[in-house]
Parts: sequence; structure tokens; C-alpha cells
Amino acid sequence: MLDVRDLAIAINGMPALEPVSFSLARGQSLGIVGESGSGKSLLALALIGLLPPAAKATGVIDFEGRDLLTLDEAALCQIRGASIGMVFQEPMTALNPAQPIGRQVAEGLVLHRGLDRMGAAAEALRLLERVRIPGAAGRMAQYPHELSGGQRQRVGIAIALACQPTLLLADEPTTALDVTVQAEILDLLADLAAEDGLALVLISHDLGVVATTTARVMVLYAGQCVETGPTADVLANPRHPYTAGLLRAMPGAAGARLQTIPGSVPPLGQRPTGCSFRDRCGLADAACAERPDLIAVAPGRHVACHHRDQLP
Amino acid sequence: MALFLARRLATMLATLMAASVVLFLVLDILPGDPALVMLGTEAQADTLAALRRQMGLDQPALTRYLAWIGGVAVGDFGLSYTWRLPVAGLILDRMAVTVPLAALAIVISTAIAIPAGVLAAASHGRAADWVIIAASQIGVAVPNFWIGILLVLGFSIGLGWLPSGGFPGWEAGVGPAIAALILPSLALALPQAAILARVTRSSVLEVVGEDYIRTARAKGLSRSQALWRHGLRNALIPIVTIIGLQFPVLIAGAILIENVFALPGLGRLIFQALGQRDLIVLKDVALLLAGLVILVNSLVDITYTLIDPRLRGRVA
Amino acid sequence: MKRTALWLGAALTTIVVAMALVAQAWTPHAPNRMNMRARFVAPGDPVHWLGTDHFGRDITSMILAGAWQSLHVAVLAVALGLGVGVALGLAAAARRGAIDAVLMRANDVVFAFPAVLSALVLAAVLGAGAHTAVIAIGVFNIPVFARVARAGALQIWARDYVVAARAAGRGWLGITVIHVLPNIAGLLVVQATIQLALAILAEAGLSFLGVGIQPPAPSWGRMLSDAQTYLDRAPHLALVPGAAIALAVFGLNLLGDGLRDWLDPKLRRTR
Ligand SMILES: Nc1ncnc2c1ncn2[C@@H]1O[C@H](COP(=O)(O)OP(=O)(O)OP(=O)(O)O)[C@@H](O)[C@H]1O
Ligand code: SF4
Ligand SMILES: [Mg+2]
Repeated sequence: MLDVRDLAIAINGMPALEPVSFSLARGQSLGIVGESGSGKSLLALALIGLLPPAAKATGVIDFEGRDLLTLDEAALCQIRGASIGMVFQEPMTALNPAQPIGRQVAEGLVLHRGLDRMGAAAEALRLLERVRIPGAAGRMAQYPHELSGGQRQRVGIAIALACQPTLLLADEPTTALDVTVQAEILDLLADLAAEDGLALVLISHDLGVVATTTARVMVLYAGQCVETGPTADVLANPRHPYTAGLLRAMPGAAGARLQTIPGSVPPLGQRPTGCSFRDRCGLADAACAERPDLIAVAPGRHVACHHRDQLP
Repeated sequence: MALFLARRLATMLATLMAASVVLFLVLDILPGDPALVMLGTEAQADTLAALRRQMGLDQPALTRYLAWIGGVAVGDFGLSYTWRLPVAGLILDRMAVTVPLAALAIVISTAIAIPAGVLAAASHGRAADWVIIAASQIGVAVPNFWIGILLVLGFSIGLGWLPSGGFPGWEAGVGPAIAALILPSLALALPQAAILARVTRSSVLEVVGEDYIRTARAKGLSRSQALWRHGLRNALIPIVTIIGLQFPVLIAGAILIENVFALPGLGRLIFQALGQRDLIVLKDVALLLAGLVILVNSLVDITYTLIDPRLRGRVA
Repeated sequence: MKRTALWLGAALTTIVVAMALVAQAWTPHAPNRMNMRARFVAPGDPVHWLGTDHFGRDITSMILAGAWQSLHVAVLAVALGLGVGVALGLAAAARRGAIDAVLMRANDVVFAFPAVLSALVLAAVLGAGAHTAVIAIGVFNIPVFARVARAGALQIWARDYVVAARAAGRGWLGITVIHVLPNIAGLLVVQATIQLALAILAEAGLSFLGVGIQPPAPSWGRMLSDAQTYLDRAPHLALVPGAAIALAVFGLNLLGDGLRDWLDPKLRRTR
């Protein structure tokens, strides 16, 4: 259903995302993990055709038989919100502060399903109940500032799911929320995705978030896919030093002490030659001056590291 | 909300009071003998004495002030010395010109500026944007009374479509009356529109980058749909502020424009009152115009809270 | 692109200032000399480049002399607004409390009297003339500068080095003069430029109404009001002074915008 081949993104001519490929069928889920600035949001925005004007995407995004990168704006508008829904990172700012939430949920229904105001409102209420907003009926007329962060994110999910899309993109849907609320939202997302049998792309900088929610995971570093595979496998047995570092940085990771990876993702245009993780990697040596390719180490399991066998 | 309204109303009244005190000081106290100012030094002793009596100049200043303000509060603005008519009636007659003129100007400037500003923002950095920016830069630099003269030159003298001045009165029918107001309100509106378009443009540009616009786009709204449905209301706050801030400019402009077009409005009245040294009319009309500015600014304040639900929550 | 505004504005402003200064020493003809045999000469004439008016006065000379009158009133008025307004704004920012509250309320009152309105009121008492124009425009400028100075000063007062200076026992007047004023000078220059443009517009309006600059001194505003009478037979009388006003205001506005962008890149944003 979704087949991404060699999708690359450049911002003002500087590569921001190196070619990545993956595919996803209905009912499947993919987690995309990486630190801030690694290109996760750009990837998600490319999938829904909302890249900033400065960004140019190349490759193929085959969605239900059509290449999104070659579609015109009008055709994309037909797809956005209807077959692809997206949940954004910041529930505080992603909702229009000057419009009651009921109307914001109903808007897509009017647009894509041709419902009238009344019908859309009734459906919006059903959606708000479905994302488990307590007292949904009384909240239809409320404004975003009257809701808690978690409730706003539920509204965001209701908006994304309104027209029963087949693909749901969730870009760090829980990053801005309290830990307890995070878990609730993740459960909700997983449940709803399973109920509707939709394909889910869940983006996070936190491996833990992905661990419980998605079947497969892709690790991005500085715009490059460094490791992919079944989530359980990658978490249990990371083959890339960056993935391993992320795992060690995970709170409550297998009894280990919390260890952050020193340094941060280099900004665009300042990425090292050779392996882009070179300046932060403990295993780096002369061989790493050559850029490592993504190599299959097992069926469905790929790693881009010259020393992929040296990890314990 | 009720508390907020009450507080806002109290501030407004206090400002109005202060404005009236200032006017009273300048026009009643500063000249020493206002009656002498009105009649000139060659005035007959008995006419002077009569006017002094009419103005209550034999009484202490405080009494005079209270009598004036007390009268104004109940709609009694006193008697005009030159027109020999109640000022309230004069003002009412003249309002029938000035209020439609100002209202028409606001409508025209908004109708030009908001689409222009949104268009400029939507075509950010492209030709339409530059054209609108340049036009508005020129628009703010051009005096409105000159625009009035140019419009007369073009549309009255040149094309002969519209009257070059004067006002037939509403008794002559709505058509001719409106026709007489078109050029004046256009002259008043164009510089306003220039400012408003600039503010609209930058306000919309700011809003375009907001996350909720992206959310709207992710729902399948086109760029312009997202802008009109979700951007405009949020962009409206700075726009309303400017409409309010520009209101004194509009009033000042109306005084000039009414004189360009010989329209019998409040601006013409206050100008004539100055020419005839009728301090009574001058003081009343000045208070009225200042009061209008104060009123509009209070309304703008209240409008914010209607536009922005977050403020509504805060003041409730 | 941003610098274009600055340079174009600076160039236009220089031209207007030069016109004003040149007029002090020389004009092609005496601006007030009437010549009933050369009335309504059209522009393009070899003797009277921009033509003559209903008294046969030379338009070029009147425009040049008018530039001086116009700038003179505008500069004095803005200086008045700047001097009083900045002092009040700085005091309000430094002392806060009651001074601040009273000042803000007083601002609302002054704000209700646009220059044209207060000029009409003042003219009844002081008589029409440049002095009335300066006072009316200047007073309306006071709250503008008071607000700008206050807002700018409040930000400076929150800075670490000011907090340190206060801790070291320096008084508010000292801090204002040493730390606050130099830091908001740029802001004030930008505002003053824009207010000058507005003051030229306001002065033209007052002279148009006859309460500003008085004859025999030539003024752009009065030239326009005279021109109205002869609009059908001599439209150039209306075109030239209006264009002069627009050019002067346009130049100062561009200069102000350009200066703002140049002095404070953070303010550039998306304009
Ligand atoms: N509009 C833009 N203009 C210029 N650079 C951009 C733009 N959007 C993103 N970038 C750059 O592209 C890179 C990847 O950005 P992206 O937003 O995809 O990161 P991310 O992985 O989503 O990070 P975060 O966790 O902070 O959301 C960053 O270096 C960022 O600075
Ligand atoms: S290629 Fe070298 S630098 Fe890159 S991750 Fe592997 S070991 Fe580290
Ligand atoms: Mg992101």
C-alpha cells in the first residue's frame, strides 16, 4: 500500500535525508527513531506532501498505486486527511486557538465526505468519544486552551482519523506530554490503528515509545537510515553503535545506568565525510572514513556500519 | 466578562472626563475672557456683557465646567453664538454626513486592504507581493486631501461622473447623497487601506507559519482555504488594533476631506466654528470628536476579547 | 532588497533636505514675487520650470521655499514630542508605579486629539501659525515617544548589567543616562524618522486648512488649497505640491524602515 523507494530530501540543495526505502501494508506499523534534527519530521512531511518550500524530495512515494511526488496539489488535497492522516508533535500549537474543537474535527468530514454541518458535528462527537475524551459532548464547543495537553493530542488524533484514512502518520505524538499521559496516548494510537487496520508510521526520538507500539523500526541518524528491522530484534540485539547508544540512553533500560550519547546531531551542511556518526562513535577508526552502505545482516534486518559485528 | 466590561467602561469615562477638562482649560480658562475672543476687541460693551452672561462668565470656573459637562451628559450642548441654534441640533445634522463618510471609508479601506494583504502574503516574495508592498508604501505617503483633489480632477472635472463637492442632503434621496460621499470616502480610505494592507500582510505571514495551519493542510485544505478559514481570524487581532489606532487619523482626515469637498459634516463645522470664533461650538465638537476616538479605542479593546477566546477565558 | 529601502530613503530625504537648505540661499525667482502678466504658466516653461500660479508666482521657487517651511515645522514638532515624550517614558520605566499609570492614562487622553483637531482648538486661542502647528503636532507626538521609550527602557531595565548596576547602588537617573538611553537611541532614531514623515503630512494638512504656516511664507499645504480654486484651468498647481509632499513623506518612511532593519536585524522578520 505504501512503498517508498529511494526517498531523499534536500533543503536548499543540502542533503537532509539520504535515500531511504521501506514499504508498509495495511495493519502494519513502522517506528522511526532518531535524535532531534535527524530528519524524522521531514520524512513524515514528505509522506503527506507538506514539505516546507525550501525542501525538495526525490525518489518515489508509491501510495495506493500513485506516486505522491508526482501528483499535483489538487490531487494531494484529495488524499491528505482522507487517506492519509497526520498527528503532530505539539498539541499546544497544532490546533487553531480561535476555533471550537468540535468544528476542527468536523472540518475534514465536511471536506472529504460531503457531510452537512449537523452530520459532521454528530460524527465529530463520535470521534471525540472514540479517542476517549471524557465528557466529549460538553467539550465540542470548547477552545483548545480549555483542554489539557493530553486531551488536545486526543483531539489531534480524532482529526487525523476523522475520514478513516488507510495511513496514519504520527510525528512525536507524545513528546510534549507527561509520561503517564504518553502511555495512554500510545495505547490509544495502537488500539485505534489495530481496530481500523491502518498502516501506522510512528515517529519518536525515544526507542521506548516505539518498542511497545510498532512491529518494525527504522533508526535515522543525521538524515541517514543506519539500522532497520523488527522492533523486538533491533532492541534486543542492536547492530549499529548509534542504536546501541540510544538503547543505553533509554530510561529504565535493562537495569543499566542511564547513559547519553555525547555530542549531538550535526546540523545540515556540517555532516562529516564517511560515516556520519564518526565524530560521536566509540568504535570509529580509519575504515569509517568510507561511508558504510546499508547491508542486510539477516532477512528484513539492515545495518550501515563497517564494524557491525563488533557490538557485544 | 461583565467585570471586564465595567472596568473598561470606567476607564473610558475617566479618559473622556480628562479630555473634557483639557478642552475646558484651553478654550475657557486660557483665553482669559472667552467672550472677548469671540466678539473681538471692537465689540459693543452691551453685546459683550450679554454674551458673558450667556456663557456664565460671571460664575466661577468650576461651576461653568460642571454646567457644561452636565449639559453634555444629557444632550444639551448649549447655544451656538453664531448660528443662534442649539449646538446639539447642529451636531446632529452634521453627524448625518460625517458618520456615513467615516463608515464608508472604513468599509472601503477594509474591503481593499484585507484581500490585498492576504494576496500579498499568499504570494510572498513574488510579483504580486512586490506590487502590493510598493503600492502601500506610496499610499501611506500620499496626503488624503491631495488624493481628494486628484479624484476631483479625474472623476469630476475629467470624466464628469461624480460631483466635485457639496452635499445634497439625505432629503434629496439616498442615491445623490451616496454619490456625493463616494469620492470623499475613497480619498479617506486609500491611505488607510495602504496601512491596513501592510499590517494584514505581515500578520498573515506570521500566521502562515503556525502549526495549526499545517494541521489544516494535513486535513486536506488547500493553502488558501487554510489561510482564509484558520489564518484570518487569528491574523485579525493586529488588524483590528490598527483599525483602532488609525481612528484618530480617520477623524483628522475627515476634517480635511470635508473641507476639500465642502461637505457639511462635523469637520466642516469645527472649521467654520474656528473661522467665526464660536468657542462654544468649537469646544463641543472637539469634545465629540475626541470622545469618538476614545469610544472606538474602547470598542477595539473589547473586540480583542471577542476574537481571541483565550483572552475571553482570562477576563471571565 | 532590504538595503534598497535604506538607500532610496536616504537619497530622497537628502534631496528634500537639500531643497530646503538651498532655498535658504537661492531660489530661481523670489518665491513671493507676483507677476500678473505671467499667470498660470504651464510647466516646462524655460523661465518658470514648473509654471506659475494664479498670481504669477514661480512654482519651483515656492516648492523649494516650502520644503524649508515644512521641514522646519516638522523638525521642531518632532523635537518637542521626542524631548518631552522620551523624558516621560524613561521616568515611567524607571520609577514604575503611579507615574507609570498616570502617564499611560494621560497618553490615552492626548491620543484622542489628532494634530488637526488640536490645531483647530489651539488656533482659536493662540491664533493660526507655525507655532500652533508645532505645538499641535508636537503634543500628539509626546505619547508616541513616551510609549516607545518606555517599552524599550523596560527591556533594558531587565538586563543583567542594569541589575548589577542597581545592586552597586547606582540611582535610577544614573542608570537611565548611562545604560538605558544609549541602548534605546537606535529605536528612537527610527521612530523619529517615521514621526517626521507623519509630521510633514500633518503640517501640510494644517496649512491646507489655513491654521498652519501663514502667508507670505510659501507652504505646500496652502499651495494645494489655492490650487483647488483653479483645478479646471491649471491642474499642475495641484499636482506639483502634492507630489512634493508625497516624495518627502515616502523618502522618510523608507529611511525609517530601512534604518529599523539595519539597526535591528531581529526586527526584520517577514516584512
Ligand atoms: N524549513 C526548514 N528549513 C531549513 N532547514 C530545515 C527545515 N526543516 C528542517 N530543517 C533541517 O532539517 C534537519 C532535519 O529536521 P527534522 O525536523 O526532520 O528533524 P527531526 O528529526 O524531526 O527533529 P525533532 O526531533 O527536533 O523534531 C534539521 O537539521 C533541520 O534543521
Ligand atoms: S561506521 Fe564506523 S563510525 Fe560509523 S557507526 Fe560504524 S563504527 Fe561507528
Ligand atoms: Mg520533528
